[in-house]
Amino acid sequence: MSSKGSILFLLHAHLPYINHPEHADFLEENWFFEGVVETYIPLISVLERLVRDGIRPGIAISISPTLGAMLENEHLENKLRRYIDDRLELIEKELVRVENDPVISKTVRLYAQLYGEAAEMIRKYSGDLITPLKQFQHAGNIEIITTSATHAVLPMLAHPEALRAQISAAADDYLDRFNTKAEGFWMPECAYDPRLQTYLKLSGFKYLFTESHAVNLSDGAPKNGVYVSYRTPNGINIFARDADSSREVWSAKFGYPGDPAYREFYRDMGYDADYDYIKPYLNAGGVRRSLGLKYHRITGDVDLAEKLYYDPDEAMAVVERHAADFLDRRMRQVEEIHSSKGIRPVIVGCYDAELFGHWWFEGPAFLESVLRKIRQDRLPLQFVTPGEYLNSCPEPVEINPQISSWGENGYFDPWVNETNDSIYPKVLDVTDRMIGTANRFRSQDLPSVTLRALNQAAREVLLAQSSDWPFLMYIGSHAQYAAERVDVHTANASRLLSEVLEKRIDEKALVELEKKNNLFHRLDFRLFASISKF
Amino acid sequence: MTDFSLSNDKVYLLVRNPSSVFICWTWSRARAEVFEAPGCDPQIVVRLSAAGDKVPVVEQAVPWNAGKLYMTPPEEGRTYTAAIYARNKDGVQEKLLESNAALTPVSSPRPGLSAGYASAEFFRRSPV
Repeated sequence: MSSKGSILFLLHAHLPYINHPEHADFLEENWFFEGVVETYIPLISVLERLVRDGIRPGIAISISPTLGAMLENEHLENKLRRYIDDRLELIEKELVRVENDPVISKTVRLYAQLYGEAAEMIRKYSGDLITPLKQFQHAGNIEIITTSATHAVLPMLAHPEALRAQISAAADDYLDRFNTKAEGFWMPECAYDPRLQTYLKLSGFKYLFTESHAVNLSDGAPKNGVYVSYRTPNGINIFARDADSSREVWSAKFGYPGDPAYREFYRDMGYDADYDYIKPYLNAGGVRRSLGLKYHRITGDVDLAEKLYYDPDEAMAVVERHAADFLDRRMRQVEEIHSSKGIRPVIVGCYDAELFGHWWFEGPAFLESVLRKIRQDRLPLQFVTPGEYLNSCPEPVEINPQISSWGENGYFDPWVNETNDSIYPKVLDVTDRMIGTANRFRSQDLPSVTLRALNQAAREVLLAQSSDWPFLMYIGSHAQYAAERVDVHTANASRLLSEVLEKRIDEKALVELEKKNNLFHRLDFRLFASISKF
Repeated sequence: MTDFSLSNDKVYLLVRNPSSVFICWTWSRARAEVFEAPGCDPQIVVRLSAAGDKVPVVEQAVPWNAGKLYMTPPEEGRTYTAAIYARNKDGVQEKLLESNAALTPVSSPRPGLSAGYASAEFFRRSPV
């Protein structure tokens, strides 16, 4: 059936770069392990099953350079294998412990399947989860895009050189990882600033994503709203997020993920179980923490202690209902836009990938059901990737999008407020020093160790600029760790720049930093120079 | 408060939302010593101007080592710069630093155009 409109589904996969080889067990590294087991592997499994059944997913996935680097990090891979083995061991014990309880047993078997599949996929791809994603892209099943080097909220970077470095390093990183040039750019936190156009163009990007009001408030208020793509004055295509389809999936309170039948995220056996029983699975300090085994459902607006047990079958029935509802709403939305505006709209739904599986446990099943239903029910809708849409859409209208983000109230309050503004003098000061030093040395033939020190300083500056640190400080989650990361990266960069200027580089310390913060392998410090040689 | 481990005399302007900008500054040790000298006026004046315009639209006096300030620009959708002035030994306000230029957004006339802050949604449910 021919389609009356398209759905462009973008999953943005990102985690801050967390790599602590100096510790056998490090709490914040668990974010990566949980992301892999609960989101990235289940999504790859969904894509595999769809492709096997002849259904082309046609979605876009943004993989941040920091997440890509962690997915390729052998040290983290080894820890991930141990994490999965530990969980499988605990699940084995749980299967015995609850064997006479048919309700909990069903959920434990679900976890056995989840972690078993994770172990199998790690084995199948020799620990390299970029490989299947690359294969899907090469076969035309999905489109992979990138984002700024360390997920900096770009409008918060006062120096244009820093903007260029974040964008250019991301383009190089993508080329190295995916063996092809990046065309699509996800604005971290959907944060757009007109200054970015030049640097995106210079790095070869062809399209970007913005928040809806970046387009709706632009000069001339485009009559087709967010339902078509636009173009910046320098020729970069723009997709704007559709608020309706986003809210249904995003909102924990009003959207699908808050359904009482779905799994409750915050009730975890790491806090419920007998301490001695779970102690082997806690970290070295023995402090209770989430173990990923959660046996309760959301239930309703009740205390955690009053949550009822989860029933996987009931949750899957709700998934089917929600998938049908989502498509029904999109059909009505498309019909309405089609009849009122006379266009074949594209509905752009952008979501953090980690919502699917990690926060919303049933999210991957929802996505799979949506994609299958379009085929099964022969709906006049199709999923398109950004590149496909741009190849077939009418000539885009030129606009100047407004500065904006998808943050609270649509601007930058989450990243600059009283809880986190102390980081900016440090980050901006070290960025300024990096630019000054790059300008001074950019044309010089440098000894290898000096070059390495400058390149590592550039890595540290990029890492200090990550949006995750002010965000974590803002929400008060791991705030001390986030503040320390800013302090550590700015101090590392500052020390390296001083050592270069004073010609007294501590090579042993440099090697340690290169091992620990080892992303962007071919990063050249000259990216920070005011007049780049590139 | 100003962190003197930082190296430069610099001021930066960041946009927060249509009605708020964030200004932060750092002083070198040498400049700090000037402010700390006996008889020096410890107050500085931060002035916000529309870019290209010499006339400040907002100004506020703060201690030299406050290190940061939020200001309300009078107009949305304009480019501003911030400058820091201090009284010199003749008692005249002298411009010490000028920031980068930053464009402020325009606010949405239709609340709800944005889908809300996705990334905070689930963190906010945390009972911890």
